[in-house]
Amino acid sequence: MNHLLRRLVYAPLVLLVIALATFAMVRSAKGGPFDAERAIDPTVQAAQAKRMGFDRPLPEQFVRTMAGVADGSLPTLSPGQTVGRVIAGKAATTALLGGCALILAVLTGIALALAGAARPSSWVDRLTGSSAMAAVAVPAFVIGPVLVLVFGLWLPWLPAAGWGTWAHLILPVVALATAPAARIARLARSTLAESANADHVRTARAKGVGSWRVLAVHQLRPALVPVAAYLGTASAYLLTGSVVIEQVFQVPGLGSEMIQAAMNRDHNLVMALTLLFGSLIIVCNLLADVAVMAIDPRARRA
Amino acid sequence: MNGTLWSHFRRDRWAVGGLTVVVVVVALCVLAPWIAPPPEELRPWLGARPPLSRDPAVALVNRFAPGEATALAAGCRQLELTLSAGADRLYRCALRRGSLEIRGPDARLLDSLTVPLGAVVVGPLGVEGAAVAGELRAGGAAPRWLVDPARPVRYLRLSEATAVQLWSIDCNDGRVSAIRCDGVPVDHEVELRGERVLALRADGRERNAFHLLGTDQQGRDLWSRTLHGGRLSLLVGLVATAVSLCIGVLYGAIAGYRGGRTDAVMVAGINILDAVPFLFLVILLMTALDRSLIIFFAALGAVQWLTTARIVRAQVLSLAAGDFVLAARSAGLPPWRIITRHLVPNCLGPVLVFAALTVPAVILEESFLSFIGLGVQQDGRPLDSWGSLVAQGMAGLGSHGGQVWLLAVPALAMTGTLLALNLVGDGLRAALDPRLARMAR
Repeated sequence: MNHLLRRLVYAPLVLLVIALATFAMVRSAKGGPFDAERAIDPTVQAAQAKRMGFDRPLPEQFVRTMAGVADGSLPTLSPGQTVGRVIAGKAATTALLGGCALILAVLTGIALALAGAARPSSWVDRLTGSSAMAAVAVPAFVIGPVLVLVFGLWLPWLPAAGWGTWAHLILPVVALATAPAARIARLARSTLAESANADHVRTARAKGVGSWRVLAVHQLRPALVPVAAYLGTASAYLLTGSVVIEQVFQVPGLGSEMIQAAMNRDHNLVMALTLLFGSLIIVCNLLADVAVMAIDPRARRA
Repeated sequence: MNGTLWSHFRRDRWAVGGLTVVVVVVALCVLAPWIAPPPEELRPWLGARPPLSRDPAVALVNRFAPGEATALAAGCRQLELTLSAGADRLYRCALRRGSLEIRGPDARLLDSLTVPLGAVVVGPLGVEGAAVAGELRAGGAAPRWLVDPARPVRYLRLSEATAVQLWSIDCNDGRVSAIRCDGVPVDHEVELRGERVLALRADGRERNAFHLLGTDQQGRDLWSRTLHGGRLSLLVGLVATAVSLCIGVLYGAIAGYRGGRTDAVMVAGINILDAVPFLFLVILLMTALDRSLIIFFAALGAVQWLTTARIVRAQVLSLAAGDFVLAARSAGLPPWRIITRHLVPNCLGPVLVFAALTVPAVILEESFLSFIGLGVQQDGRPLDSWGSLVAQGMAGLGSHGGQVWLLAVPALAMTGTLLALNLVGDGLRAALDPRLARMAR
């Protein structure tokens, strides 16, 4: 409980740090979107600054900007567009992509760990172990193009890019889920190995419980604790991963929007997206803590 | 201390293999300027060529005329080509009773004298168009590969072998001022065909005509680009890790040494920063500032120091209670000297082990940024790194999946190096663990 409480206290502080950092960076940005080759008339510049609120004291600007981010009314570079509308239009895509990848990663990771733990140091165990070790090192932006090449171009089974049907979902989800699945497999596998000699497992075996049942019931639950704790980190990985994966597969989501905004120096949009992703990660960390407590009674008492 | 670490590390086959790969990659990347051609040498007329290809078209259909500027000549002052000139002619060919009957391009029957003895077959042979090289003697017995009933012979291209010629082209401000063939000035326009170029020298420097890993669409040597990209990736990885070490060690040592309220506040700081999605802040930073190398070092170093600080703080916390610290303090040493001379050296082992795992993490982040187009820039020009090479390789796939090597080479270089670095880091950590266990006992 203590841990969760501390997280709850830290959450607004974390958000404040992100907000201050993003605001400071945007205000210190060198090249702005309105940089022109010709010098702008000072009166026009002053009027522009007044309209954008740049003539107010910095703390007031900060509060206004953050209020604009919070209610989504902050304007983006595209005329008449606000950050709220841009995010609302694309959030579902990224949520679908990330959610599917998360589910796939957890299921695959645990399945691989169980398959390895069922017969320790068999060829299955060694194969899953070494491929998980290799997959952790392969970044999503390498897996993505390789999948496009193999399943989109050489064997034209799946669309190489685009969005709309369920078939468009498969390759990006697999590319995004590979690294977290490998990480989960390694985490769960090492806990399964630790608990293989635990007292309760030995007792269950002595009672005559089948080996699969021991694995799936008695050993799996403690192995889920580090997996649940990892989900916070995994959500951060999936959000950063979605940036490149959406670029690779041309998925119109928040990640590709982030790159577009960064390229266009649309500072307001980048700032809003950074804050959104930051809050999402905070929430996911909290959820991961709750999940750990739900699985592990010791965490509840601590 | 290092002896035991190394003896444990040495027993881990994977880690030693990883270390070997890392050493080879680092050596190749460091030596890149000496073992690879300059990476920015544009040769658009060359196009994308697969690995293990020799420059087939160094001067492909480049027309040279005195007083005229040419694409190939634009960059240099003197160009020398060694080439064997030869005219290709299409011959119709039929097998009659074990001997060859050859008709010229105008279907006239040629007697054995008109086909030069020892002519080399260079062109497509048979309907499948397979290129075969072999010697052909008209009137004599056909070589065995010609009488293959499964592949009827219809056409073959003969090239009359002639002496090797040396052409040299003098250029002045990109304009051709003189053309010589075997030292004799030529005053008319010449067309040099690339297929027969044997060697090429520009400004007295031998041009690399062999491409181990092929070339990209602009004709740049991929071996060279990969090594030079690796230089940048490794440089950023090492320096940013060093930056993160400095910040982390300093922060952790101060927190651990001061203890009490300072420590509590500093630990809270770490816990808060731990939840900050730094990579997104770095993206924002890269859009806000100019993306120079220094900024990359600082930004990526600032992302990675938290765990180092934790490790150092925990170590210093336990070390600070030791007698040698008490002795140093009673000797009147200022806290700064105690930290730098007594505490930090004592916790360097675990810190360096963690640093070994930080390097691949930083390289991954740098590649991520350059993949999405926010890589290091110099003078407004993006520098090659493994991430941007992978991005370009992906673009080179097009819609048919051609030019696979453009993606495969940088992707393999990067993942291989990352995997090797991870193996080394894991091996070091495993080697350090028994030592920690012994220390605890």
